[in-house]
Amino acid sequence: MNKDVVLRIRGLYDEWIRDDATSLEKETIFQDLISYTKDVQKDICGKCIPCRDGIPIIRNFIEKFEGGVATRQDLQKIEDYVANLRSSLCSVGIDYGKSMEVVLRNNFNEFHKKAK
Amino acid sequence: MPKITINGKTYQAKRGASILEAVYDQGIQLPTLCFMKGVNEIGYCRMCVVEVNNNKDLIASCITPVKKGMEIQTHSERVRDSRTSTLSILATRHKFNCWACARGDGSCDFYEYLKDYHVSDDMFKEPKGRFAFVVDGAAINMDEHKCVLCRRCVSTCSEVVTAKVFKYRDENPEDPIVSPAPGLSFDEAGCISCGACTVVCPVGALIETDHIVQVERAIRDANTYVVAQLEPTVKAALGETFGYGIGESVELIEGKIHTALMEIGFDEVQHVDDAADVHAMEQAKVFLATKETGQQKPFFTSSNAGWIRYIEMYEPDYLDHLSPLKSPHLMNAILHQEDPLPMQRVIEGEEAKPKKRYVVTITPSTAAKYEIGRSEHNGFVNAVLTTRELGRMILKTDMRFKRLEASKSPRVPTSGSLYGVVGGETMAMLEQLASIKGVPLTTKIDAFHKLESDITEVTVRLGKESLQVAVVHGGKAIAEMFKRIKTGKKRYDIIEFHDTFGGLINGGGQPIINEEFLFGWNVARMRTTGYMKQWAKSTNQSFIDQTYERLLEPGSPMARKLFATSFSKKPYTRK
Repeated sequence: MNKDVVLRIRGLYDEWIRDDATSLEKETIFQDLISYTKDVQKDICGKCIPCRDGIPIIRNFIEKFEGGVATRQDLQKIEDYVANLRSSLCSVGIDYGKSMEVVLRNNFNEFHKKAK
Repeated sequence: MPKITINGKTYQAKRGASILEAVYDQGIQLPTLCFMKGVNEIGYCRMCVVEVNNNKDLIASCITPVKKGMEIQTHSERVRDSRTSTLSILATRHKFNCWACARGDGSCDFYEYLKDYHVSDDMFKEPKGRFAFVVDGAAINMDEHKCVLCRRCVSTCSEVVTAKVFKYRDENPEDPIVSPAPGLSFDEAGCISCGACTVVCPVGALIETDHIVQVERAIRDANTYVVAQLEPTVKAALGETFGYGIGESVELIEGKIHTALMEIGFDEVQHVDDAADVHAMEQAKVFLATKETGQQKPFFTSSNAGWIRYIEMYEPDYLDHLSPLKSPHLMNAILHQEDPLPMQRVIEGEEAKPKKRYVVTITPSTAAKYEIGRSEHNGFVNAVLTTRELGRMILKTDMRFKRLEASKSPRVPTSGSLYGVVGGETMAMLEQLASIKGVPLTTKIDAFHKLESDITEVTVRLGKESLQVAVVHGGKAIAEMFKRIKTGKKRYDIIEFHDTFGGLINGGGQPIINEEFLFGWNVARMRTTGYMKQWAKSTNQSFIDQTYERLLEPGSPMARKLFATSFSKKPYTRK
């Protein structure tokens, strides 16, 4: 495919995910994320590091946010580990990472409010 | 020849090469924990990830072939961040007791990467490790606290050694574990103790069983006379620990080892080459007597402990082909067992009561650690240090190895000095056969130690007789050789076996080389070339003559009694 076309499609995708419609319910955001992560954890095959050990760590952090004990540093860590899922071996990790990137971008305020 | 761009510069890459190889060819080494060329190309560790064409998804360079027009970024911000995160994730599951770790001497890949990528420790306050248990073994230990699940040992053991001891158990995908059959030690799980896994492990999870503590205790004890038996091939690699190149300055190192050992506190240094000459003589006699003793042909050599483990477990039907002799270092210990202590000490009056004798073999072979504990050889040798362990002991003292003075001029190498090199044992034996029969031997050692293939077959003319000799090294080659023997198409007279590529000189106890494109063949070749430079044909018969003058004549019942050993089938469980 032409390189320009690819870039345009990618741009459109970026625009679409920034849409407000993809932001989550404010009240239940962390519960929803935990249940989503639990679902993904079932598919982990245990081969590559970012996904095998990264996703459980991310879940721990979300649980911290839900419990109200998270710090600003935790928010930084969660962003790092989510970004690192881009280097996963297969689509389980990569897809989860992409979804979480969108979640973090569109609901950053919710995370920021909870972090001390 | 696809044209690619690496960090802004355009290069011609080799067709079919992986990105990692292409990058390596341009002089950039990417960090890797799991990759081993041709053995373990799996892309699990995600350390070698690179950015291609500005794509946000990073790909593993070790398993991706180069394509025309790729724009590769090996150290961009995104790539660096990813490596840092991956390392910190791994670090949460690794136990850091680096000061007590065998790889704390700077040979730990993981430790180096943590330094290079500035991983902060706020994530891993008190890491306990993945699993809190240690798998024991006479020669090899596995510390599950430290495993990073790279799978190198699994691939090496199944494909290079063919013992298939390790298994990657991912029944619980979030907590996989690499181990031998659960609940069993290495000795029970089919391990041949060759030590190949300890060389490839990127962290200190797999190490040789530690004998340093007990040796140091013996040295400190004033009532113990500690003897070091030095395998000649140790000097081919010890220098690597202290900054010498592979196969470099072998002659220089020999004298330095002597100084270092004396400085550490050993009372005497003996060389196993001498006993290897006696071994060759005895082996020649045994070979000549095969018809009388009922030994079957082909004749298998038996000085390699790892190979003995292999045949006892996996091919027990062929045990009566083995030459029934102890290995040279055990023979050396036996020959010196009754030796009086040096006269001078008696004159100085230090010798009020006889000291206890403590014999330490220094060898590149990890299997020797298992060998000395066998019921047949119990008590002759008290401890075995590998080359790596000796290096660690020297590092512990305040000696500067490079500046040490060589205390002795290099020994004149004998045919026994070549026991650690592929073909050396057969060559020494053939020399003795030729001298017994009084015929010239035209074959040279060069005919045997071709390191291009792991099985070398040579026809040797010995007077009117012609012998079919084969030299086999590496577990894969041993398995292949047994296939050939079983088909029975070709006749073999003598077969020499080694448990590791390139023989003892490339054994599992030699220093570790942290380069993923430089293992096995290449290292064996470099070490052998360096070692062979020093070697010149010589017939140093003095020790043999001395031995036989004092004790016995070659092949006599007395010699048999002293040097003979026995082999038996050993059970194992692989799950």
